[in-house]
Amino acid sequence: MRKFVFLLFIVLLSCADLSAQDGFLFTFSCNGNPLKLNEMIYKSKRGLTYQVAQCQYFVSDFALILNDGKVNTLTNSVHYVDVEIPNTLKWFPLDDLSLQNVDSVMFIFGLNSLQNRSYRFKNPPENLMFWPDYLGGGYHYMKTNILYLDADHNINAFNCHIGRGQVYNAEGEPIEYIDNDFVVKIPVKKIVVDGKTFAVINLDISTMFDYPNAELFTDYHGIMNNQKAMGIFAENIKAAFER
Amino acid sequence: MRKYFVFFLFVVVVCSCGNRLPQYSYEPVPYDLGVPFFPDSLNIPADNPMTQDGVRLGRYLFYDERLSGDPKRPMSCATCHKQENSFECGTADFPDGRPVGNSGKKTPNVMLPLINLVWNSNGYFWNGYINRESGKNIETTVPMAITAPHEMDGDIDRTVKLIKNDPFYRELFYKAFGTTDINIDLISKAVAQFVRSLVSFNSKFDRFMAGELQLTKSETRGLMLFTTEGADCFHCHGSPVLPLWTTNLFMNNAKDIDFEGQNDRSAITQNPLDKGKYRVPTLRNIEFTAPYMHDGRFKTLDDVLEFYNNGLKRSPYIDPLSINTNHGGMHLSDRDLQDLKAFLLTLSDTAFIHDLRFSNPWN
Repeated sequence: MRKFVFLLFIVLLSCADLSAQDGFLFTFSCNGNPLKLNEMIYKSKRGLTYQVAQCQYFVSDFALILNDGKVNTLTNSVHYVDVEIPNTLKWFPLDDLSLQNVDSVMFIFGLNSLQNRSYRFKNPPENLMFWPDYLGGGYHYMKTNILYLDADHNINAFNCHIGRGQVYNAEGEPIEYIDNDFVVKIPVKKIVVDGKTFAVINLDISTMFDYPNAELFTDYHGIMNNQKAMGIFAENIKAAFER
Repeated sequence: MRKYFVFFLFVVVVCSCGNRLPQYSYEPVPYDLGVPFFPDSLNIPADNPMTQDGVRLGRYLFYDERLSGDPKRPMSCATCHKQENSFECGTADFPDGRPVGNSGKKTPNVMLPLINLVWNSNGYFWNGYINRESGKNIETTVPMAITAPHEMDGDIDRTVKLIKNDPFYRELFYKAFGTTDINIDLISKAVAQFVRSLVSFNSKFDRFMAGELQLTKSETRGLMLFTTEGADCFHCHGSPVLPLWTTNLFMNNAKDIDFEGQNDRSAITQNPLDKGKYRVPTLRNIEFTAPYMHDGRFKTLDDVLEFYNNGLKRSPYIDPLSINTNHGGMHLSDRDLQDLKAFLLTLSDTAFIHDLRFSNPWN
């Protein structure tokens, strides 16, 4: 009888293991605190007050780096994150993903050059991220849209939109395109929500605008056709994930 | 002999009984929207799949002036939703773009075109009042239109009675729904099926995308302006990869600074941040759908372009995508505006507004 109970215990335990499904939790912060949307309460390094209205981005090509240095790649993984759509903030890419023995998480911010092709997504919300073909095609890696108060306290809008960049000729026509996707690597930070284990991927919005480049919204009108600006923001966004 | 006569009578009775059974059958055939490059997520309720016979019946009802339920004040959906205006009312009969209902009341807003609605899952009407979250869909709008004072100002029971009394409809209803028990639900479902069948995808620009023709230099330049942050139309209105030419989102496009009394998106969500927000309308067939904006304040496309060029107004409620508001507008040159307009006119689908499948079947 004891043997039977023991066996049953083992079976139940293994069943529990099989049903374990870990995932990723996407969070947002500003100055290190949880982000509050649509509140004109944040100050940039340059002293401008701003509020965050929308933040949407793609991440792809996830890999888990294990404690022993081995790498588990999540083949063809692409995920859309939207601060306003709760079901995009929890992601279970595999039925049997385990975060046990995971040291760090690596992913591509945006879509790599092979994956970033127009018409890939047919339906909203993903297809609303399209990047015009004239500017290189594919999809926005990120849309972060804010309102800020200028020196005269007037409301202004700024769009931090990153995607494929362009090289222009003297006539102002794009002759070459540049992929601005980059790799992010962060130590795994686990959290348990509703009994599920998640690896947290946090984006600190204030870092996006302040560090390492304090290049802010007033410097640009739109940045989608400005490779230099996108490069600067890409550097900041990497820091916003990794910092 | 008597025996034969009784048998003959029996045969006659059986045969006449047979005549009373429907001679038509209920064999629903799915309706094919036939659009190759649009989104594949469709807003079709599970209890009202589109069928060929359902769409056919809906077309007859859509154009049937008995829908108002009052033969003295006949009105159908098509009285205001006119095919030549992309199923808006146009300005020929209603110069301000706001139709007048049977009670003499005007509609609160101008109309939105009834095209490509099957690809919109984000709510209908300017403020999204009709939305799936509240259990409303296109079907809901049919009894609303029958009873609203600024529309048919009618009575649903009388409408149903008039439709029921026409033997012509019995076969159509049986073929569409497998019953001749006509009621408002089935009337609504059929009209909704027809409305969902109103798809436009054959504009000059569509044919350009299919490689069938070239755009002019001006149209190409207009497309370039449209899809860059120069004019920055694409974030709200789409691009060749978003061929509905609308995101179907709700946005405040910097028209106003005072939002008191507006029946805007905030009236639905109760969220003050949604003040001044209205549905982004499709730009398909924009040529046929003047006047423009929810209140029809702009009579022509040139007026609209001038507004976006120089008339944007700051408020705490502007959509953060409208970066041109920082400077009051796009500030494009006259040539740029002409090119932009030339491009917009390539979105006109003249095949759609003449498509016999969508025309009045009673003619």
